[in-house]
Amino acid sequence: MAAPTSSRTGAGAGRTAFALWLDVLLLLFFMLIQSPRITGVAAHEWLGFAIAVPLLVHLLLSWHWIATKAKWMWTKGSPRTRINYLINVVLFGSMIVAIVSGGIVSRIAMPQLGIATVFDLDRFELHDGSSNVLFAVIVLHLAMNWGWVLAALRKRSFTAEELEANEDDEDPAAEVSRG
Amino acid sequence: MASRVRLAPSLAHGLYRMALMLGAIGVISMATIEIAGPPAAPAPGQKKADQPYGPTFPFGLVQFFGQGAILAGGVYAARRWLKVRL
Repeated sequence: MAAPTSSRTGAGAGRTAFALWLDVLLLLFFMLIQSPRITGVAAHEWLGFAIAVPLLVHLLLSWHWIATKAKWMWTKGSPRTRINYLINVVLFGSMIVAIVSGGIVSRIAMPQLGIATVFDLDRFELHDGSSNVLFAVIVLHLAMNWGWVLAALRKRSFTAEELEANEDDEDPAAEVSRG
Repeated sequence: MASRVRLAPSLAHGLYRMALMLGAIGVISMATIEIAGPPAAPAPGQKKADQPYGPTFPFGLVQFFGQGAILAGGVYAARRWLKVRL
């Protein structure tokens, strides 16, 4: 019988659970931000800035995947890996553009911080457009990683053997569970 | 017993990674500000942009669950028909 891998240990499972709850938090944050009729303008703006914190933690947890795939995906990576990487790059970029353009047209949060802003429709359209791109890319990101989400919900970590068995299973969240 | 989750192997690694991410965020932010350009004078019709932000809780719930339904439908369609999966 094969010895249990480190990802099956308490530390690996704890990391997977942490990553899962963080992702759930990120999704809830995003959906609340996308529902300004619930939050109103002020909370919409503050939540928009606050989402940067769990986003950075999510990226730190996925760093191993980000760094290793960036190094060799252009030489050894499958097309699927490259597409997945591209989706993640667009996701990161559109998130930052949405947050920054939101700051530019902010009417409550930025003025409260002492930064004067001017609201105009052209700038608002940049914010609106980047938010729509972000929504579409989040759908693709979730679809790509749905297998990991289901596995994590079943309180089950990926083992190194499982990941090696399918080279296309290059899921950033799966890397998280490897500890 | 709760296990500790490490975000990076060491504090130095963590700070280095944060610096890289903040650098990337800075580059994208500057590009966004450049694309946005200088502000135009607000026109009277721009109040339309405020309409989706009026806090009305029942409509907010519809908006929230509507977003969730579109998201779930999109993920289902992407996996089922577009074969988007790892």
